[in-house]
Amino acid sequence: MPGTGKLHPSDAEADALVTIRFNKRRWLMLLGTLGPGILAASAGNDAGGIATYATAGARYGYAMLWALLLITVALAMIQEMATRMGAVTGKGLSSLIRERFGLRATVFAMGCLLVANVATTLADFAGVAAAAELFGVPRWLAVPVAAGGLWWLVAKGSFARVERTFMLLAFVFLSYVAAAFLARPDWSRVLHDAVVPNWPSVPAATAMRDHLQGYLLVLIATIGTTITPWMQFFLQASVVDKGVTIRQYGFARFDAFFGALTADLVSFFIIVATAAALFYPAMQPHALADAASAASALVPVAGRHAGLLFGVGLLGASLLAASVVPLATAYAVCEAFGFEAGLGKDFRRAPVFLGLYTLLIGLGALVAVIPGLPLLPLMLVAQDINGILLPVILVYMLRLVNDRRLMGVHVNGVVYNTVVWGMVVVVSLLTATMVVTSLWPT
Amino acid sequence: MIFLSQYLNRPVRTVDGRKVGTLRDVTFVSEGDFPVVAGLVCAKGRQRRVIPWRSVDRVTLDTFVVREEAAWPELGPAERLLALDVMDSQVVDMDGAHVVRVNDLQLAWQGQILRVVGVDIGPWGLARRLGLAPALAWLSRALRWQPPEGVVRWDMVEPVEKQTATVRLRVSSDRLARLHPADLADIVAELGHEQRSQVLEALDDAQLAGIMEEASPELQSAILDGLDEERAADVLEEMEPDDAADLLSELPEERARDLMERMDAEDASEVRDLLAYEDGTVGALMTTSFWEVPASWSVGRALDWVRGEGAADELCSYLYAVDAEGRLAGVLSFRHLVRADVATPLAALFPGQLVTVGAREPAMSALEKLFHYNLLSLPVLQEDGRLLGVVGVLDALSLVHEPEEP
Repeated sequence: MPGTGKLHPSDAEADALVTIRFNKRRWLMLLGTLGPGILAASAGNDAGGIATYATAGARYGYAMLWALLLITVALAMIQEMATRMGAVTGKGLSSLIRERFGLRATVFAMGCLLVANVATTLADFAGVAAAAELFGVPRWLAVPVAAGGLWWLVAKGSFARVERTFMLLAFVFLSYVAAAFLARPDWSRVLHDAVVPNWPSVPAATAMRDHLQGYLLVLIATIGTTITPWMQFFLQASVVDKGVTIRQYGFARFDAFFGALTADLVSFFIIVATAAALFYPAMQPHALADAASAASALVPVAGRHAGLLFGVGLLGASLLAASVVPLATAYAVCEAFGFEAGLGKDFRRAPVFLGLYTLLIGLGALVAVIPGLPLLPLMLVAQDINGILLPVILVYMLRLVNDRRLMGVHVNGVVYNTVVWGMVVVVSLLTATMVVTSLWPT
Repeated sequence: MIFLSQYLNRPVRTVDGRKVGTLRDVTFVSEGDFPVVAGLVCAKGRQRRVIPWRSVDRVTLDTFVVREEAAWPELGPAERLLALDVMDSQVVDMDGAHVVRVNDLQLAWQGQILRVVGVDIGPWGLARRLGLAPALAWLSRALRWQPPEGVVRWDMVEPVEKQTATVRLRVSSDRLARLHPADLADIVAELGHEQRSQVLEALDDAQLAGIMEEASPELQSAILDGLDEERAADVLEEMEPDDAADLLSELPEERARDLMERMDAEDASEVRDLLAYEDGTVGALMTTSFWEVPASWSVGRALDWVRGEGAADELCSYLYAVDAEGRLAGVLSFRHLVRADVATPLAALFPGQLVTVGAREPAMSALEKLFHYNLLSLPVLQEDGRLLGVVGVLDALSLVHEPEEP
């Protein structure tokens, strides 16, 4: 008796109405599938990223662009690897590491991840401090307020909406694209340097060793900020959360590639804009000591409001990463060791999860609040730490992705293995060179 | 208490003291509720041999002593290994109803045989394996804090397969079925899709429908993607029509129409009717699974109907009586119904005022009326007074309490 058809609108009438409800939902769904790849790659353009790219442009002009091209290729492949592993196994990177390599290897991997992410969080709070100082707000006020606010947001669990706001703020950095064009760089030169490997010439009064060291520092930072360890954990976890399986893999793969490309396109324009505005080959390498000088590259777009524009973007990017990175860390560690995790759970239910989140935010804020600490170099060094630890995470990923028991026919091909193993070797060699040159007697 | 990690990497010796190798793992077989250790996996160089349990002479504090035999077999691919296949894997803890990770395995002697009795999922297991147990004990004393013991009985966990495992561990549905569907939904959400399909295969359509009703939209579509179309349609039939409609509206239109065509005609038409109402209206919130009888019936006849056909309906706090045209004539609470004399006509019991809501009104107005009049469910009418469905208070509460997305 209940639910017999006669009580209800006719089928034809209902059919017409059904279409309405479907269509509305469908475009909502499209928004929902905004890819993890794009999100992960653009979260890489955080405070540390901006500082690194701006430094690269200001110090070495276009000479870092060709490296960025190679890094982009590697980034696309590594993101695709993480996506593929998530789709094939349906498990996060931490889980796979734990199940495949056992507890000790997991502790080592998580240790590396933790160190890298403390550095990243620190850089992002340094970004908050730098942005605040552009607005004339002292860091001892801005950093604790930001840290407390972010912590409260997560404890309260209303994170998703705020995340989108930060992302919108970070879109301000698209103005670097305009700035790059308005600065009227020599485009033929830019394109040439972007494709043909070239090295910055040694300025007259600089010792070769200092020059090489400075260059390596920026190069490793560029690698480390573009391909971060935490991003791979975050990306694979998002792919798993979205329930992407290898059958509907096409979109996810496109998303991984497209995300890498768009994010690095923004990086490219930041380097071009700062190079065009701040790099003078005849002069001493530009130190780029503070955020104000990085902001001055935006003068062609915003005139005297350049500082304001830069500050807003830096604040958004910093806050986004300063919340996402500690969160991603806490999730990854809890997944590896089987601790309860989740937003909106209280301290009694998820002590390790909330403890880690609190620790990272606390450490980051505590260092960034130190008066007089040079913020931009701090951000750069944090990216170096990420770069140095990247090979460790890549080795884990490579061994997992080439395990046939795990991946079946979806193991890496020769090209992938060559490029990504190449990346591991190159970054390790760069790090070794940096260490050796700094130990070498003058 | 003894744990597997305390035995691993111990030397294995013969009775006369010669070293055979190092213990790397143990094989086990199911026997009753607690599996029995069947052999020692002993490594010497690159060679791995399995020493059957009957060759084990004795186990001292730091050594396994075995009687020598002509030839111990090489480790075969079909053995179930405790350290390799179970340690570090995820299991469902049936007590806490969540997915946890195996840090260590608790063993116990029963006469001459060694059984696996528990799964260590806590901090002690982690510390023990890293050789940090004394440090944790010190920390515990210094902070006057008692870390959770974290050992779950073996028969209270359900294994979910490790991705690299060589041997499939069977998931049994009867233990999982003891869990509440809401807990099962939480567990399924925590699993990777390989393990998820393993668990889902073990459940029947009705159990799966129960999970679907409790799951978030993301999880629903993920589960649905893992089912073949026929089973998906069967599960949709088992679901309450309003939940099925909500789920279908989240799918791409073509897929949803295809699934509705595979469904049983009557169930499909109910769902289609519900889909006709736009999001945010009372119609999109209501269910068509409720007690509806002709107003001309007597109490006895209505009760008979309730015992029979009505037993499966979702909302059963009130009995809704309709006239010959399907217009709502009156509402009776279940309490009134069971206390009335069976011969009484239903119409004689109707209270004066009818509280109703229109199908195209905003969903919020249903919630307001439910609270204002202290009702458990509210009848939904079409413009001409015909009864279309019912909004239950729990469904209406979902308007004000949407779980935060992770």
